[in-house]
Amino acid sequence: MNRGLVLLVLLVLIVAALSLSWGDRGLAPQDILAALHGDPIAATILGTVRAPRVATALLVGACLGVAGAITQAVMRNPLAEPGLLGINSGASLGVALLVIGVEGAVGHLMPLAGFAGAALAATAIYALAWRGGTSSIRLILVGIGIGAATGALTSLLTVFGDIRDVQRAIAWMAGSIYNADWTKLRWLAVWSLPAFAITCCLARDLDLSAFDDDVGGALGLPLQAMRAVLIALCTLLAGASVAAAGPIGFVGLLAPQLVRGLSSRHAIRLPAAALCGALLLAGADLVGRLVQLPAGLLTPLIGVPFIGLLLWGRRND
Amino acid sequence: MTEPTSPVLLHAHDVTIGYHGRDIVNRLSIDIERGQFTALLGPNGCGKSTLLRALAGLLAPKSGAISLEGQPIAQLSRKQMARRLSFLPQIPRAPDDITVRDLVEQGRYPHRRALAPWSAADRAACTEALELTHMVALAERPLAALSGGQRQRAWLAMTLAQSADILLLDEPTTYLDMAHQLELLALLRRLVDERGKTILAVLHDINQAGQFADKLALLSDGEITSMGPPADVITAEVVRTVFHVEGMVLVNPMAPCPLFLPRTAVSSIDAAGDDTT
Repeated sequence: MNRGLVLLVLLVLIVAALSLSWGDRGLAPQDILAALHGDPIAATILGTVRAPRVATALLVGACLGVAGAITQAVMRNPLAEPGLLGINSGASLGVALLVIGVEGAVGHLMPLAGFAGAALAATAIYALAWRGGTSSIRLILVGIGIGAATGALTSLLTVFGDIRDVQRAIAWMAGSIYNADWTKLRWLAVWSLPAFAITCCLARDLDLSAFDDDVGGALGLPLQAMRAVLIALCTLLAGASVAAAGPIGFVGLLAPQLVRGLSSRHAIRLPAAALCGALLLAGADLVGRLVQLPAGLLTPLIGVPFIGLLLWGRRND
Repeated sequence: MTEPTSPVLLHAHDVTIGYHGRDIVNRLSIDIERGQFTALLGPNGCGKSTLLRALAGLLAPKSGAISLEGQPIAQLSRKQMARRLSFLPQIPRAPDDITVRDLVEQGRYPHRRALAPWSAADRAACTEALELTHMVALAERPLAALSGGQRQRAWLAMTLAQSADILLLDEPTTYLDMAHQLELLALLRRLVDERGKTILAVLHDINQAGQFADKLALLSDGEITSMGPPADVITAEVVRTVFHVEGMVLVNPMAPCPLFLPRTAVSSIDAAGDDTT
């Protein structure tokens, strides 16, 4: 087995263990074991607060990592990320419309609005990029355009909305996982795990999607159909994660980028990107708890220096 | 042994091909015969690459039909097509960080079923492709770190790993120096003679084409103007009309096919008015 993958698994386990034990009330390893054997206090802290939160962080991170790996292959650009498919901007617009535009208590509908917004934006980008077929560069350009347009609409809503609604919408847009619970996690799993399994079955097709159209086509890749399926999977994964945690930037860009060196094969890259994404987001959440900030604000803080490092590493290319 | 029913393997009949409303190839017909090395030549922009892409099934002709062993290629799935015919574009692009081995292994894509493990046949095809192209020693190197000629050979190895009977190659000798050009053409010749492959390659050097290919097909303004054995095609007259180059045809002391010695380029207007000479 790939050594990089083993290392990633170990790191994820370490961060998960730290996240479970770290908090206002620390839990030593023996407390965690006690919880498993029925100690009520430890079990409450673990079962209703920390475990769902850690599991959500891991799963959302994994979704974003895999969605990022798909985007980078389909867009043939190592700097592409699911946000280019309008996922984050579409979800934000969906939530802003719901919170600011609809009267009454609608907080429980926010994940749904987020997912719908993300899916609609991705569909619009795919449809508008279609000209007897799609091409990577047209998807990127249309994606940037739709992203800007939805962003502008969201800003417009926040300018005219009621200030308390605007505040709620903006808090959601920061992206966080502190109100994770088992129900949300179950929904996330239902949406994302099948998509993740299908993506892994398509690892070879992803390998070939990163080549130019003629090479892929000549080798027998059903280009257009495959691209549509891959974009749909990416939308499902990233849309489910944005529904569960709000828009979280940089994980989808960084996680696949960090594991590129392990292999050029998606059979390795996909699980590695999933693990790396899980690690990044669980790590960001852990640090976020220490400094009282939502994970969605911390991922750029971790992300930006990494991008700097990547650029530095390639300065002679 | 049963004789194949028809020597024609790949057949285009009366095809018109174009992009964005402009016709590049006009009502062209061509037969590619089994077990032959056909060289496709013509001036820049005459439609060679367009024709090759259409024959590979990557570009649907606006009218006319293309068939593979009598079966219209529009009826074949992409994978079925790829198992029988491989196509190497002029400037193929791969992800930057891929190694030669990973690139070559992509050639097995049409032969693999979903989730099927890497088979002995896959391994054998890749090893053979690397050996034929002398790329074994470079197999673990990243493609981006290779010279233009090595990269071209890596791509050819990928195409060979595809184990298709027909190879369509768009200017395979472009990035190569003279020695590597000759080596590559000799390899193509061997693939035809020893493995029974059928090759259609776009080449630029008419003398090289004459030396290595069984047949030359000259394309000019989207039409096949001349096709046949090199000795029939390489005449001063044909070269002047197709390439707008004035020169002499000499007897090649080293090979049976004639040698074209270019003297000067004539502008197309001059050539049109100069038909009587």
